[in-house]
Amino acid sequence: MIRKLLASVAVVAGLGSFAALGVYSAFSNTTTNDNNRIQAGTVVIGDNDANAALYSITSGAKPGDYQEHCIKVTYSGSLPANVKVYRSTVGALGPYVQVKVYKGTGNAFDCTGFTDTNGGTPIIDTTLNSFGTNWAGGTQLTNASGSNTWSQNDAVTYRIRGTLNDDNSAQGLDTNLHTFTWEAQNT
Amino acid sequence: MSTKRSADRWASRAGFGLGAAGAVAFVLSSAVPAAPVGHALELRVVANLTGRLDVRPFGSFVRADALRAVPGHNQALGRTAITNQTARPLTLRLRALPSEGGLDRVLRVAVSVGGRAVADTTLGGLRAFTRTPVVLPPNQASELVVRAWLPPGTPRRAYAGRTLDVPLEFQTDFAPKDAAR
Repeated sequence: MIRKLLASVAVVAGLGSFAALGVYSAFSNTTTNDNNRIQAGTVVIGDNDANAALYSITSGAKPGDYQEHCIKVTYSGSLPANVKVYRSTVGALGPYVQVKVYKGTGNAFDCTGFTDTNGGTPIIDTTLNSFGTNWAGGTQLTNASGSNTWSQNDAVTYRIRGTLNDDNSAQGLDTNLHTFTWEAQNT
Repeated sequence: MSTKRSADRWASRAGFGLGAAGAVAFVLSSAVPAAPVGHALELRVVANLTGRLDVRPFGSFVRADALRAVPGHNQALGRTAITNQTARPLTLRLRALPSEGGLDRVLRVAVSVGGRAVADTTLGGLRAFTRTPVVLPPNQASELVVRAWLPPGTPRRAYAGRTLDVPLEFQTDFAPKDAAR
Protein backbone atom coordinates (compact mmCIF):
# COMPACT_ATOMS: atom_id res chain seq x y z
CA MET A 1 0.00 0.00 0.00
CA ILE A 2 2.73 2.37 1.00
CA ARG A 3 4.66 1.52 -2.12
CA LYS A 4 1.66 2.41 -4.26
CA LEU A 5 1.09 5.62 -2.34
CA LEU A 6 4.71 6.62 -2.73
CA ALA A 7 4.59 5.73 -6.40
CA SER A 8 1.54 7.98 -6.90
CA VAL A 9 3.25 10.87 -5.13
CA ALA A 10 6.36 10.32 -7.19
CA VAL A 11 4.40 10.33 -10.44
CA VAL A 12 2.48 13.53 -9.54
CA ALA A 13 5.64 15.23 -8.30
CA GLY A 14 7.56 14.12 -11.36
CA LEU A 15 4.92 15.40 -13.78
CA GLY A 16 4.60 18.67 -11.81
CA SER A 17 8.34 19.19 -11.81
CA PHE A 18 8.53 18.50 -15.52
CA ALA A 19 5.70 20.98 -16.25
CA ALA A 20 7.23 23.61 -13.98
CA LEU A 21 10.58 23.15 -15.63
CA GLY A 22 9.03 23.80 -19.04
CA VAL A 23 7.08 26.87 -17.96
CA TYR A 24 9.65 28.47 -15.67
CA SER A 25 12.80 27.93 -17.65
CA ALA A 26 14.25 31.29 -16.55
CA PHE A 27 13.93 33.34 -13.41
CA SER A 28 12.26 36.67 -14.06
CA ASN A 29 10.69 39.43 -12.10
CA THR A 30 9.28 42.88 -12.92
CA THR A 31 7.55 45.73 -11.23
CA THR A 32 5.60 48.46 -12.98
CA ASN A 33 4.23 51.90 -12.38
CA ASP A 34 1.23 52.49 -14.63
CA ASN A 35 -1.10 55.24 -15.73
CA ASN A 36 1.37 58.11 -15.91
CA ARG A 37 -0.09 61.13 -17.64
CA ILE A 38 -0.05 64.92 -17.62
CA GLN A 39 -3.09 66.72 -18.89
CA ALA A 40 -2.70 70.50 -19.12
CA GLY A 41 -5.44 72.78 -17.88
CA THR A 42 -6.71 75.75 -19.85
CA VAL A 43 -7.02 79.49 -19.46
CA VAL A 44 -9.73 80.73 -21.79
CA ILE A 45 -11.53 84.04 -21.69
CA GLY A 46 -14.05 85.44 -24.17
CA ASP A 47 -16.63 88.13 -24.73
CA ASN A 48 -19.82 88.79 -26.62
CA ASP A 49 -18.95 92.08 -28.34
CA ALA A 50 -19.15 90.65 -31.87
CA ASN A 51 -16.22 92.92 -32.71
CA ALA A 52 -18.24 96.09 -32.16
CA ALA A 53 -16.70 99.10 -30.36
CA LEU A 54 -17.87 100.00 -26.88
CA TYR A 55 -17.82 103.65 -27.86
CA SER A 56 -17.13 105.40 -31.12
CA ILE A 57 -17.86 109.07 -31.79
CA THR A 58 -16.35 110.14 -35.07
CA SER A 59 -18.63 113.03 -35.99
CA GLY A 60 -16.99 115.67 -33.81
CA ALA A 61 -17.70 115.11 -30.14
CA LYS A 62 -18.59 118.05 -27.91
CA PRO A 63 -17.83 118.36 -24.18
CA GLY A 64 -20.11 115.97 -22.27
CA ASP A 65 -20.83 113.75 -25.27
CA TYR A 66 -20.60 110.09 -24.39
CA GLN A 67 -21.33 106.65 -25.68
CA GLU A 68 -21.65 103.39 -23.84
CA HIS A 69 -22.22 99.71 -24.48
CA CYS A 70 -22.10 96.52 -22.48
CA ILE A 71 -19.69 93.66 -22.81
CA LYS A 72 -20.07 90.32 -21.12
CA VAL A 73 -16.78 88.67 -20.27
CA THR A 74 -16.81 84.93 -19.62
CA TYR A 75 -14.08 82.78 -18.21
CA SER A 76 -14.15 79.28 -19.70
CA GLY A 77 -10.77 77.93 -18.67
CA SER A 78 -10.40 74.94 -16.39
CA LEU A 79 -7.74 76.59 -14.21
CA PRO A 80 -8.59 79.20 -11.58
CA ALA A 81 -7.41 82.58 -12.85
CA ASN A 82 -7.05 86.26 -12.13
CA VAL A 83 -8.51 88.67 -14.65
CA LYS A 84 -7.36 92.20 -15.42
CA VAL A 85 -8.37 94.83 -17.94
CA TYR A 86 -6.06 97.28 -19.68
CA ARG A 87 -5.93 99.35 -22.85
CA SER A 88 -3.72 99.78 -25.87
CA THR A 89 -1.94 103.00 -26.90
CA VAL A 90 -4.16 106.07 -27.26
CA GLY A 91 -3.79 109.43 -28.99
CA ALA A 92 -3.48 112.93 -27.56
CA LEU A 93 -7.14 113.11 -26.54
CA GLY A 94 -6.56 110.40 -23.93
CA PRO A 95 -6.27 112.76 -20.94
CA TYR A 96 -9.63 114.38 -21.79
CA VAL A 97 -11.77 111.25 -22.07
CA GLN A 98 -13.34 109.89 -18.91
CA VAL A 99 -13.87 106.15 -18.83
CA LYS A 100 -16.36 104.65 -16.41
CA VAL A 101 -16.79 100.93 -16.03
CA TYR A 102 -19.81 99.51 -14.24
CA LYS A 103 -20.13 95.91 -13.14
CA GLY A 104 -23.31 93.90 -13.48
CA THR A 105 -25.25 91.27 -15.35
CA GLY A 106 -26.97 91.11 -18.71
CA ASN A 107 -26.37 89.76 -22.17
CA ALA A 108 -27.22 92.64 -24.48
CA PHE A 109 -24.52 94.70 -26.11
CA ASP A 110 -26.82 97.73 -26.09
CA CYS A 111 -27.17 97.26 -22.30
CA THR A 112 -30.86 96.38 -22.44
CA GLY A 113 -31.49 94.47 -19.24
CA PHE A 114 -28.18 95.42 -17.67
CA THR A 115 -28.38 95.17 -13.88
CA ASP A 116 -25.71 96.97 -11.90
CA THR A 117 -24.38 94.81 -9.08
CA ASN A 118 -22.18 97.45 -7.48
CA GLY A 119 -24.85 99.88 -6.35
CA GLY A 120 -24.40 102.12 -9.37
CA THR A 121 -20.82 103.01 -8.44
CA PRO A 122 -18.34 102.45 -11.24
CA ILE A 123 -15.56 100.00 -10.52
CA ILE A 124 -13.28 102.09 -12.72
CA ASP A 125 -13.57 105.87 -13.08
CA THR A 126 -10.50 107.38 -14.66
CA THR A 127 -9.26 109.21 -17.70
CA LEU A 128 -8.43 107.08 -20.68
CA ASN A 129 -4.85 108.19 -20.32
CA SER A 130 -4.62 106.83 -16.78
CA PHE A 131 -6.04 103.45 -17.71
CA GLY A 132 -3.49 100.67 -17.30
CA THR A 133 -1.66 99.61 -20.41
CA ASN A 134 -0.52 96.09 -19.58
CA TRP A 135 -1.05 93.22 -17.16
CA ALA A 136 1.11 94.76 -14.47
CA GLY A 137 -0.71 98.07 -14.64
CA GLY A 138 -4.14 96.67 -15.41
CA THR A 139 -7.12 96.81 -13.11
CA GLN A 140 -7.85 93.61 -11.23
CA LEU A 141 -11.42 92.47 -11.76
CA THR A 142 -13.50 90.34 -9.45
CA ASN A 143 -15.95 87.69 -10.53
CA ALA A 144 -19.67 87.93 -9.89
CA SER A 145 -19.17 86.79 -6.30
CA GLY A 146 -16.53 89.42 -5.60
CA SER A 147 -13.57 87.05 -5.65
CA ASN A 148 -10.33 87.81 -7.44
CA THR A 149 -10.18 84.18 -8.51
CA TRP A 150 -12.29 83.35 -11.51
CA SER A 151 -13.49 79.82 -12.11
CA GLN A 152 -14.86 78.09 -15.15
CA ASN A 153 -18.19 79.57 -16.26
CA ASP A 154 -17.80 82.80 -14.28
CA ALA A 155 -19.18 85.72 -16.24
CA VAL A 156 -19.47 89.46 -15.58
CA THR A 157 -21.02 92.13 -17.73
CA TYR A 158 -19.41 95.57 -17.88
CA ARG A 159 -21.16 98.74 -18.95
CA ILE A 160 -18.45 100.99 -20.31
CA ARG A 161 -18.93 104.66 -20.97
CA GLY A 162 -16.52 107.00 -22.67
CA THR A 163 -17.20 110.73 -22.13
CA LEU A 164 -15.41 113.74 -23.58
CA ASN A 165 -14.47 116.01 -20.68
CA ASP A 166 -15.11 119.74 -20.76
CA ASP A 167 -11.63 121.05 -21.39
CA ASN A 168 -10.62 123.56 -24.04
CA SER A 169 -7.34 121.79 -24.55
CA ALA A 170 -9.20 118.80 -26.01
CA GLN A 171 -10.24 120.62 -29.18
CA GLY A 172 -9.27 118.86 -32.38
CA LEU A 173 -7.56 115.97 -30.68
CA ASP A 174 -8.21 112.27 -31.23
CA THR A 175 -7.90 109.19 -29.06
CA ASN A 176 -7.24 107.18 -32.21
CA LEU A 177 -8.55 103.63 -32.41
CA HIS A 178 -7.76 101.75 -29.26
CA THR A 179 -8.50 98.43 -27.66
CA PHE A 180 -9.51 97.23 -24.24
CA THR A 181 -8.08 93.87 -23.29
CA TRP A 182 -9.33 91.50 -20.66
CA GLU A 183 -6.58 89.09 -19.77
CA ALA A 184 -6.75 86.00 -17.59
CA GLN A 185 -3.75 84.37 -15.98
CA ASN A 186 -3.98 81.23 -13.94
CA THR A 187 -3.35 81.64 -10.25
CA MET B 1 -6.36 -11.10 1.05
CA SER B 2 -9.39 -8.90 1.44
CA THR B 3 -7.39 -6.70 3.76
CA LYS B 4 -4.78 -6.21 1.06
CA ARG B 5 -7.45 -5.34 -1.55
CA SER B 6 -9.00 -2.81 0.79
CA ALA B 7 -5.57 -1.28 1.41
CA ASP B 8 -4.92 -1.09 -2.32
CA ARG B 9 -8.24 0.65 -2.85
CA TRP B 10 -7.38 3.23 -0.21
CA ALA B 11 -3.93 3.73 -1.63
CA SER B 12 -5.25 4.39 -5.15
CA ARG B 13 -7.90 6.77 -3.77
CA ALA B 14 -5.29 8.62 -1.75
CA GLY B 15 -3.01 8.82 -4.75
CA PHE B 16 -5.80 10.13 -6.94
CA GLY B 17 -6.81 12.67 -4.30
CA LEU B 18 -3.26 13.84 -3.86
CA GLY B 19 -2.80 14.21 -7.60
CA ALA B 20 -6.08 16.09 -7.97
CA ALA B 21 -5.22 18.41 -5.07
CA GLY B 22 -1.80 19.09 -6.60
CA ALA B 23 -3.36 19.87 -9.94
CA VAL B 24 -5.91 22.23 -8.40
CA ALA B 25 -3.21 23.95 -6.34
CA PHE B 26 -1.07 24.38 -9.43
CA VAL B 27 -3.95 25.89 -11.45
CA LEU B 28 -4.95 28.21 -8.63
CA SER B 29 -1.40 29.42 -8.08
CA SER B 30 -1.07 30.17 -11.79
CA ALA B 31 -4.37 32.05 -12.10
CA VAL B 32 -4.20 35.75 -12.95
CA PRO B 33 -6.20 37.69 -10.36
CA ALA B 34 -9.35 39.27 -11.76
CA ALA B 35 -9.17 43.04 -12.24
CA PRO B 36 -11.35 44.88 -9.76
CA VAL B 37 -13.60 46.49 -12.35
CA GLY B 38 -17.21 47.58 -12.19
CA HIS B 39 -19.82 46.38 -14.58
CA ALA B 40 -20.77 49.65 -16.22
CA LEU B 41 -19.63 52.87 -17.82
CA GLU B 42 -19.87 56.18 -15.98
CA LEU B 43 -20.44 58.94 -18.52
CA ARG B 44 -20.56 62.73 -18.33
CA VAL B 45 -21.06 65.06 -21.27
CA VAL B 46 -20.10 68.62 -20.40
CA ALA B 47 -20.90 71.98 -21.99
CA ASN B 48 -19.44 75.21 -20.64
CA LEU B 49 -20.02 78.89 -21.34
CA THR B 50 -18.01 80.72 -23.93
CA GLY B 51 -17.72 84.43 -24.55
CA ARG B 52 -20.33 84.23 -27.29
CA LEU B 53 -22.55 81.45 -26.00
CA ASP B 54 -24.52 81.25 -22.84
CA VAL B 55 -25.26 77.68 -21.76
CA ARG B 56 -28.03 76.88 -19.26
CA PRO B 57 -27.57 74.60 -17.49
CA PHE B 58 -23.83 74.48 -17.94
CA GLY B 59 -21.45 71.75 -16.82
CA SER B 60 -22.53 68.10 -16.97
CA PHE B 61 -25.84 67.94 -18.76
CA VAL B 62 -25.68 64.29 -19.77
CA ARG B 63 -25.04 61.94 -16.89
CA ALA B 64 -25.11 58.17 -16.67
CA ASP B 65 -23.68 56.37 -13.68
CA ALA B 66 -24.17 52.83 -14.93
CA LEU B 67 -24.34 52.57 -18.69
CA ARG B 68 -24.35 48.98 -19.96
CA ALA B 69 -24.88 47.42 -23.37
CA VAL B 70 -28.18 46.05 -22.21
CA PRO B 71 -31.51 47.28 -23.58
CA GLY B 72 -33.03 49.74 -21.15
CA HIS B 73 -29.67 50.62 -19.61
CA ASN B 74 -27.58 51.43 -22.66
CA GLN B 75 -28.28 55.06 -23.36
CA ALA B 76 -27.99 58.49 -21.77
CA LEU B 77 -29.84 61.56 -22.89
CA GLY B 78 -29.40 65.18 -21.89
CA ARG B 79 -30.38 68.60 -23.07
CA THR B 80 -29.35 72.16 -22.40
CA ALA B 81 -30.06 75.57 -23.90
CA ILE B 82 -27.38 77.49 -25.77
CA THR B 83 -27.95 81.16 -26.44
CA ASN B 84 -26.08 83.37 -28.84
CA GLN B 85 -25.39 86.34 -26.58
CA THR B 86 -23.84 88.49 -29.27
CA ALA B 87 -25.71 90.98 -31.40
CA ARG B 88 -24.98 89.06 -34.61
CA PRO B 89 -25.98 85.66 -35.97
CA LEU B 90 -23.45 82.97 -35.31
CA THR B 91 -22.65 79.74 -37.06
CA LEU B 92 -21.98 76.92 -34.66
CA ARG B 93 -19.98 73.74 -35.03
CA LEU B 94 -19.08 71.51 -32.15
CA ARG B 95 -16.86 68.60 -31.32
CA ALA B 96 -16.13 66.28 -28.43
CA LEU B 97 -12.90 66.15 -26.45
CA PRO B 98 -13.20 62.85 -24.57
CA SER B 99 -10.91 62.35 -21.62
CA GLU B 100 -9.68 59.04 -23.07
CA GLY B 101 -9.71 57.32 -26.44
CA GLY B 102 -10.66 53.82 -25.37
CA LEU B 103 -14.32 54.28 -26.14
CA ASP B 104 -13.93 56.15 -29.43
CA ARG B 105 -15.17 53.20 -31.48
CA VAL B 106 -17.54 51.84 -28.89
CA LEU B 107 -19.81 54.65 -27.82
CA ARG B 108 -22.30 56.14 -30.29
CA VAL B 109 -23.49 59.73 -30.06
CA ALA B 110 -26.25 61.70 -31.72
CA VAL B 111 -26.35 65.47 -31.40
CA SER B 112 -28.97 67.98 -32.42
CA VAL B 113 -29.09 71.76 -32.10
CA GLY B 114 -32.38 73.58 -32.35
CA GLY B 115 -34.03 70.39 -33.57
CA ARG B 116 -31.51 69.92 -36.35
CA ALA B 117 -29.36 66.79 -36.33
CA VAL B 118 -25.69 67.69 -36.58
CA ALA B 119 -24.06 64.37 -35.70
CA ASP B 120 -24.89 60.69 -35.54
CA THR B 121 -21.60 58.93 -35.24
CA THR B 122 -19.14 57.25 -32.94
CA LEU B 123 -17.54 59.18 -30.15
CA GLY B 124 -14.31 59.13 -32.17
CA GLY B 125 -16.20 60.57 -35.14
CA LEU B 126 -17.25 63.49 -33.01
CA ARG B 127 -13.65 64.41 -32.26
CA ALA B 128 -13.78 66.36 -35.51
CA PHE B 129 -15.98 69.46 -35.68
CA THR B 130 -19.43 68.78 -37.10
CA ARG B 131 -19.51 69.53 -40.80
CA THR B 132 -22.75 71.40 -41.22
CA PRO B 133 -22.94 74.61 -39.23
CA VAL B 134 -26.08 75.60 -37.42
CA VAL B 135 -27.01 79.28 -37.42
CA LEU B 136 -27.85 80.76 -34.04
CA PRO B 137 -29.81 84.02 -34.24
CA PRO B 138 -28.85 86.71 -31.72
CA ASN B 139 -30.29 86.38 -28.25
CA GLN B 140 -32.23 83.24 -29.01
CA ALA B 141 -31.89 80.01 -27.14
CA SER B 142 -31.51 76.75 -29.04
CA GLU B 143 -31.83 73.37 -27.46
CA LEU B 144 -28.75 71.19 -27.57
CA VAL B 145 -29.64 67.52 -27.24
CA VAL B 146 -27.06 64.80 -26.87
CA ARG B 147 -27.82 61.09 -26.83
CA ALA B 148 -25.06 58.61 -26.16
CA TRP B 149 -25.47 54.88 -26.22
CA LEU B 150 -23.68 51.55 -26.16
CA PRO B 151 -24.91 49.40 -29.04
CA PRO B 152 -26.34 46.04 -27.91
CA GLY B 153 -23.72 43.37 -28.14
CA THR B 154 -20.86 45.65 -27.16
CA PRO B 155 -18.47 43.45 -25.16
CA ARG B 156 -18.45 44.39 -21.52
CA ARG B 157 -14.67 44.57 -21.35
CA ALA B 158 -14.84 47.52 -23.77
CA TYR B 159 -16.55 49.80 -21.28
CA ALA B 160 -16.93 48.18 -17.88
CA GLY B 161 -15.41 50.06 -14.99
CA ARG B 162 -14.54 53.14 -17.01
CA THR B 163 -15.30 56.77 -16.25
CA LEU B 164 -15.54 59.02 -19.26
CA ASP B 165 -15.83 62.81 -19.35
CA VAL B 166 -16.76 64.29 -22.69
CA PRO B 167 -16.44 68.08 -22.80
CA LEU B 168 -17.97 69.65 -25.87
CA GLU B 169 -16.08 72.38 -27.66
CA PHE B 170 -18.03 75.04 -29.53
CA GLN B 171 -16.66 76.81 -32.56
CA THR B 172 -18.52 79.95 -33.59
CA ASP B 173 -18.17 82.38 -36.43
CA PHE B 174 -20.21 85.37 -37.44
CA ALA B 175 -22.80 84.58 -40.06
CA PRO B 176 -24.44 86.90 -42.56
CA LYS B 177 -27.34 88.72 -40.92
CA ASP B 178 -29.83 87.08 -43.25
CA ALA B 179 -28.43 83.61 -42.71
CA ALA B 180 -31.14 81.01 -42.49
CA ARG B 181 -31.12 78.32 -39.86
